[in-house]
Parts: sequence; C-alpha cells; structure tokens
Amino acid sequence: MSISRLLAFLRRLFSARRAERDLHEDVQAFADLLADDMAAGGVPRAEAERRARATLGGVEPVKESVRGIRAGAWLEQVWRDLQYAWRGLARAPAFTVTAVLTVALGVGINTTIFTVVDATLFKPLPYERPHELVRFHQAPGISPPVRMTWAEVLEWRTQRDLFQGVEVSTGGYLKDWLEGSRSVIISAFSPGLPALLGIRPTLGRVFTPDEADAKSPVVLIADVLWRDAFARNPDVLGTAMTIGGRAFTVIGVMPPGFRYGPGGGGILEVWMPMPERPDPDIPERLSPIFRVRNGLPLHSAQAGTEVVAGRMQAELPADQRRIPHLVPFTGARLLGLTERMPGGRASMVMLLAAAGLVLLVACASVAGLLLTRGEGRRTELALRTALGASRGRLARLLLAEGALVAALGGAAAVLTAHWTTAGVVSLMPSDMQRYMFTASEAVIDGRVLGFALAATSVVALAASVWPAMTGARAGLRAALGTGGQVTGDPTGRRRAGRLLLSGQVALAFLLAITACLFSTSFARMLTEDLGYDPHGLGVVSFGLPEGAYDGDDARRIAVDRLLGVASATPGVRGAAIGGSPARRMPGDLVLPGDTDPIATTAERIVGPGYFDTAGIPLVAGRDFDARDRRGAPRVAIIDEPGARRVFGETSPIGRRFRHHPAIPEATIVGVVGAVAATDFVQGPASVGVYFPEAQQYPFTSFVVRADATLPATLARVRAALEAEEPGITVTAAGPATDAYVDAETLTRPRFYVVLVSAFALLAVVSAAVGLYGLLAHAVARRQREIGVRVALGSTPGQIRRLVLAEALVPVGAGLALGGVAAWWTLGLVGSLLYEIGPRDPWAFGLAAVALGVASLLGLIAPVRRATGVDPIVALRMQ
Amino acid sequence: MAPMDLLPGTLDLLILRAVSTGPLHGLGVSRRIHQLTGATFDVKPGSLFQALYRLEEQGWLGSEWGQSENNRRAKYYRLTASGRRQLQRETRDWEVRSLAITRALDPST
Repeated sequence: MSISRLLAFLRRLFSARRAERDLHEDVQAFADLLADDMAAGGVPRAEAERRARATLGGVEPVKESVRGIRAGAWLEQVWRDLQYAWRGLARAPAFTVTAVLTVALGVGINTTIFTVVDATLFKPLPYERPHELVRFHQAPGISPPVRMTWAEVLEWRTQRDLFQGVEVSTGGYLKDWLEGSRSVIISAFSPGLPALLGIRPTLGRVFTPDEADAKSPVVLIADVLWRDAFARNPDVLGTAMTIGGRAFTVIGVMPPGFRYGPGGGGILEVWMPMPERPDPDIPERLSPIFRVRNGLPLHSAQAGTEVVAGRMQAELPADQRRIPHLVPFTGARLLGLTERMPGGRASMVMLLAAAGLVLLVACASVAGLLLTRGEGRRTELALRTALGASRGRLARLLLAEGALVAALGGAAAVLTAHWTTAGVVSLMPSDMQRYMFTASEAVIDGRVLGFALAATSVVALAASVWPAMTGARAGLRAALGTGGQVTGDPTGRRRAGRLLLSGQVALAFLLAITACLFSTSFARMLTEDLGYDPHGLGVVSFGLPEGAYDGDDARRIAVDRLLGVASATPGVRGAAIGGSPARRMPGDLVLPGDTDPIATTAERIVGPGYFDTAGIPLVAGRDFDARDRRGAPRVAIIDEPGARRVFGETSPIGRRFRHHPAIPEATIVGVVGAVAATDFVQGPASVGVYFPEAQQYPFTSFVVRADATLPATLARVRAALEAEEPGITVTAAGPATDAYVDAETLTRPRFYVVLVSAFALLAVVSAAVGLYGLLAHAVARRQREIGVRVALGSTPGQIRRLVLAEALVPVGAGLALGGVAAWWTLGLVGSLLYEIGPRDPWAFGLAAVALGVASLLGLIAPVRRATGVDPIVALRMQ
Repeated sequence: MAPMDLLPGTLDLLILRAVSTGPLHGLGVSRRIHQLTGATFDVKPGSLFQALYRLEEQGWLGSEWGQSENNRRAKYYRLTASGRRQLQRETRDWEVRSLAITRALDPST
C-alpha cells in the first residue's frame, strides 16, 4: 500500500461517516445528472429517473463495488460485518445467550481439561535441556527405579563420557517446624543438583559442597512455603527455622518449578544439604538423576550404561545382576506418575478425548441454532440481496455472526477458566495432585490461551460455515421468488441436517454411557463388602525420631517395642504392623521360570497378627510369625480369588513366585479372603499379595482394633507412643476407612465420575438444544407444506407424526451409531471401572433413556409450533 | 458499431486524460471518455467509480464539491501534479506498446 493510499485509509477511518455520505452523494449525483439530461431531452421525469437508475445499475451496488476496492476495504468490511452481527445478536437475546453459553461450556471444558492435562503430561519440565535428564529403571516400560548406594553413585559419576552429572535427592519426610507450629515436608539433595537441572534459586544461594559435607544447618525453602508462611518477604534469608528439634538458617528460596522437587514423596517444602557419603539418617536406596553427556544419543548412552553396569556387577551372583534402563525424566514419568499410578496417563488422555467430544456436540448445536436463525431471517436476507448484497457478502455477514458467538463464548470460557481449573484440581485426590503437578502447576498461561483460541476457531468455523452458506443461498432464492417451495428443503440439505443430528446424538450417547458406567462403578464401590471389618479399625502412622536409630535392625526393634506399647494401651483389643487394608501398592506376579508377569498384584507389607486385627479371614495355611525373619526363606500370603486365578483349583500353599523379576522368589504360606480393590487404578484383576514386614523394611504404621470408641482410643495410642518415644512424629491417626478409603481411595473414582458425568450432562443438553434447533428449522421450512396438509384435512396427530418422523429417524440412527462406537471404544476404560464391565447393558439402557428424555424435551416446542400452524397464514406467507 | 469494452488497464489512462483539460464530475468523466474515443468505448458506472476512487487514493486525482451547470451539487475530479506526471508516463508507455503491437500485426513485416 502506497503512502497516499495509507493516508486515504486513515483519513477515512477517522471520518467514516463523512466518507460514506460523500460516496453516496457522488454516485447519486451521477444518476441525477443523467436523469436531468434525459428529462431535458423530452423524456418524462419519472421515466428518465428509472432509466438513469437502470444505466447505473443501482446506487447501492456501485457504492458497494467502490467500497470493495478502497484501501483497507477488507478490514473495513470485516469491521462492518462484525458491527452488523453484533446488532443482530443484540436483537435476539434468547438465541445469543443460548449459543454463547453452549460455546462457552464446550470451550471452557476443553480449556480446563487441557490446562490440567498439559501441566501433567505435555508441558516440558522447567529445567535446562530436559530431554537429557534420565533415571535408571528396572525395565524399559513402567517399572520401579533402580535403587543404589553412594558407592555406586560415585562410580557412575566417573563415567564422564556417558553422563555429564549424577545427582541425588531424597523423598520427603514430615518434620515438626517449631516457629511455624506445624509440620513441613523436608527433603535433601546433593549440592550439585540445581546446577545439573539448570535452575537457580529465586532468592539467596544454593548449598556449597562444604556445607553438604559438614551437614551444615542451612536450608532452602520452596516457593510455596515462602509464599504461604513468609508472605514472599525478601528478608526471609537468614531466618532461623527449628525443624525436628534442630536449628537451621534459611539461605535461599527455590523457584516455583522446583516446588515438588524431583525426589518424589509429595509437596516438598524445605531442603537440607545431603552429604555425598552414606548417611545413617537416609537409607541407601538412592535413585539418582543422570544428565546424559551433551549430544550423546539416548540409545548410545543406554548401550554404554549396560557395559559399565555389567562390569560393576561382575562379582554379584547372576540372579542379582540388574540391567539399568535409561528412562527420560520428563512429563508424566517425573515422580513416577506412570509407575505409581498405572492408568494415570491413559485416564488423562481419556478425559481430553471426552472433552473433545463435548466440543464437537457443542459445535453441532450452535450450527443447528444458526441454521434456525438464518431461516427466520429469509425476508431480511432477500431484501439485502435485492439491495445489492452479493452471495459472498451475505455469507460473510452470517459467518461474522457465528464468529462473534464463538468469540464471546471463547472469551467467557477463558475468563472463567481460572476458577473451573481450580475446581477440577480440587476434585482430584491429593495423591493424584501431588504426582501430577510435579514440576508445573495447572495455571492459565500462553499455551492454554493458544489452545482456547484454537478451540474457539474450530467452533467458529465448524458451527457457522454451513449455516452461512445455507443462509446466503436461501436469501438468493427468496430474492428470486422461489423461496416458498411446497416441498421444503432439497433432499440433499435435509440429509445433511439429519447427519449432523445423528452425529450429535451418537457423541452424546457415547458420553452418557461412559458416565453411567463410572457412576454405577462408583456406587458399587460405596456399597461393597470391604472384605475386612472397618468398625473400630484405626490406622496410626508415625516417623521415628531423626537420627535415633541406625540401620534397619535398630529401627525394627524400635517399631516392635512401640507396637507393644500400642497393643497394651487401654481400649485396644489388638494391633499389628501394617496400613489400611484398602491401600496397596501395584506390583507384578512372575512364576518360577517365567520372565514375564502372569498377573498384576496389589501388595501390602504386614506384620504378624495383621489379618486377625483387620478382620480379614485366613482361609488356608498360616499367618506370618516369628519364623519369617530376615534371612529365613522368603514367604508371602495371597488372596483367595487371586490364588484361584493364578493356580486354579490346586492349593497355592507351597507354590513360589517373584513379585518382580529382579527379586528372589517367595513361597506362599497362606491364603486370605479378598479385600475389595477400592482403588480404581489397581483394578479388580489384581492379585492381592502380602509380604512379611520382617523380610522387607521396617514399616512405621499400625492397624489398631479398638474395643471402646475409636477416636478416643486412637488419641490414647498416640499419647502412649509419644510418651514412650520422645521425638516421634505421629503423622496420621484415624479410622481405616475415613482416613484412607474416603479421603484418598474414593476421591480418585469420584474425580472421574464427577467430570465424566458433567461432560455427559452437557453433551446431552447440547444435543437437545441442537435437536431443537434443527427441528425448528425443519418446521419453519415446511410451514407452507404443513399449511397445505392442514387445509387438505390432516389432523394434528398426523402433523405431529410427520414432524416426529423428521426427528426420530436421525435420533435413532445416532443412538445406534453411538452404541456401536461405545461397544468398540469403551474397552479402553475397562481398567478404570470397578465390578462392572465396560459393556454393561444397564449403563447402555440408562444412557439411552437419558437421551430419549432430552430428545423429547427438544422436540416439544417445534412439534407444538407445527400443530399450531394456521393454514391461512401459512399459505399467505408467499 | 456498438460500444466496446475497454482494454484492461486503459481505463485509468482515459480517466486521467479526460480530466487533464479541467475538473469534471463522474457523469462528465463518462461523457468525456465517450467523446474522446469517438463513442468507441463505453464505461460502466461501477468500473468508473471504482477507478475514480482508486486514482484519488493514489493521489493522482484531487476532488472538491461544486455546482453543476444545472445547479446540482456534485463532486468534481481534477488532475493533481503527480497525476499529470502519471498521465505523461502512461501515455509514453501506451505509445511504446501500441507501436509494438501495430508493428507486430503489420503483415508487411
């Protein structure tokens, strides 16, 4: 654009009204002068004016053609279209509110779910070159990390041609913080970790190697603690913190991306320096973070690692050698989302897909609404055509309307996304939150806005192109005087409308079935016979005093002593080592000679008397007892349905298995009753397996069976433990069901149930709205035909049947399509369901009923309008 | 002979030429082209107005409102200094082109 054109554009921009008036007068003058000439030549005035207009071809089309070539014409037209669309929408508030809300819900759900899923799965870690960061795992797929000693870590550090750095951090420990009058989760890391990750403290500095070596009393605090406990005060540096009875000085604040730390175990709040040698306080089960040498491909690093590992393990017996697998330390893998929460990733992707379906249904509904609206405006569109608007121009006007609706809906979605995201996150079980938002939080950022923009554009295009084309064509036809065909729509367009409706119903049906499955599954979980006796059963978890016991044996002796104290507390009928029966860890079951697992397991570590205390019946064999010590043959107890699944009808007693390829075999000594797998994620197919505490690690949690009221008894147990062991931290003391089953185990299913049900509800409502839109459109199109039929003696019942046939065929087809789609795809969610198959006929039936009711609601208004058609009015409409 | 459609690109040249002898309103430009070309070409009003506004935006035409001979208010277009230069340039280009085409069509060569 030349300068003069740009200036012309700007001039016109600031005096648009005058420019328009000038253009009008200029063109009008042409016609008037022409008419004057002809009148002067003897043509009568009226005839002269008619001829002049004919020569000109109309004032408006000429003006329109000039507008089309002027500088910035495109921008101006878009602006004018939007203004026009805005006025049109303001005149139809019912339509506008419905359509905008539909878009807002569709885009809002997607934005919210994307925010959550992006933060858990897709967002790159806030570390330097995150793809180079790996951990050693026991297998290439989902598997526990390899644990090692400091000696091994130091040896790996010498492999400079493979790894640039190897650093260690620990999991979190709960410790009392005196000044804050509460507990904090404290962890430790080796001083090189921040440099390895490429992060810097927000404030202050990180640990020096000397501080780590000397275990200096200095700490770094997490951004979250700085915010919550110190109100982001920059003077926090140098503050004294008394943690677990020891005085520390704050030397720095870590950035928000380090909020959860890379070591696992929860929301970390405070870090101490970790000396690079064996430490009695920190068990030697380190799973370090490695940074692969810059430029070395991962597979080369893997090959090199295998060679070095082979050399390092040369003296070990063959069955104890392990090949480490380098697994990238990114996304969901971080903190073991996939290890500790099998299905976590799949369920996230499933939610995203479900949200996508809701968006599609919303698109179809808005398209239906726009179609209906276009139908009501045929006269107006015809008038515009007559006044010189081209078909493209009309289509643009209608498109602008769709785009404006989408934009308003999208804006509403983004403006509320902050709260909806917070709502969805609060629905998540706390362990899910902890593991999912490891390195990043679910916040509205540029990525989310980009996603929302994309989703809105999809709606704008998908919902408005077809109605715009139809509307523009209808306007043209009406202008040509052929608008009122008795037969209604051409077959092709009617078929397209029905297809749209079928698709919408199918998607909504699929979502409704999914929602029914999850709700039924959840309801069954709540009423399930738990397999243990929850009445008067409590769980007490605690941490031993820092540094008081050196090594597993000393700790075990302390735990046994404390168990004695708990058992002897008044009101306690029995106590045993172990946690809530409902909380178990996932593992594998490998038969001797096999390398691949035959089943997945739900594992729990328990002490003697656990089953008796918890009320789990011993079906065969024996309980764990004093024989099952460290060094004695490894033993296990299996649950009854699991035993039948793996060993058939033969007795499992004496059979052997491994719960991981790398771990020695255990012999089954007992069979117990099944405990309800209330943890969705482990699924009902998992085999319940118990291992003796004495052959594992000291387990600092007791189950307590109370004679008297549980809370009072638990309070007494707590007091007794604290009196017996000064410095003990009791981290939890509550009923086995409340503390775990309700708060933890059931929140995960509830998360899916609430979300999926909300999606399904929205989809069903959207489908009803869409059905209403399309049917109202059809009735309006066929008004004349209906009028003729009524005039020829059709009864209201016949008219009703005529209109219903228009709707019922596509709805039926949609239900069939959705049912088939559900049959094929819902196998994917089977692992997330409890005691209900993914093809449960009741769920299908219930969903069909829900959609049927919604469809009827959508049908009422159009059907009533059709039966209310007055033949005189309808026939005069031409 | 019925009026012919204009060759592409010649409308601008003809408009500049039409107003080179004095300001004209829209209908006047149309008449003047009709007259200048010996009634060979007829300009459709739509194309005429498009061209007028384009040339004005490019700064080759200026305009002011005035009274017509029969006392109607009309917008009069006149050639600006840069418009005059443009007319000379386009005239030269046209001569070169038409000469080349005439030569190419001459059967004697």
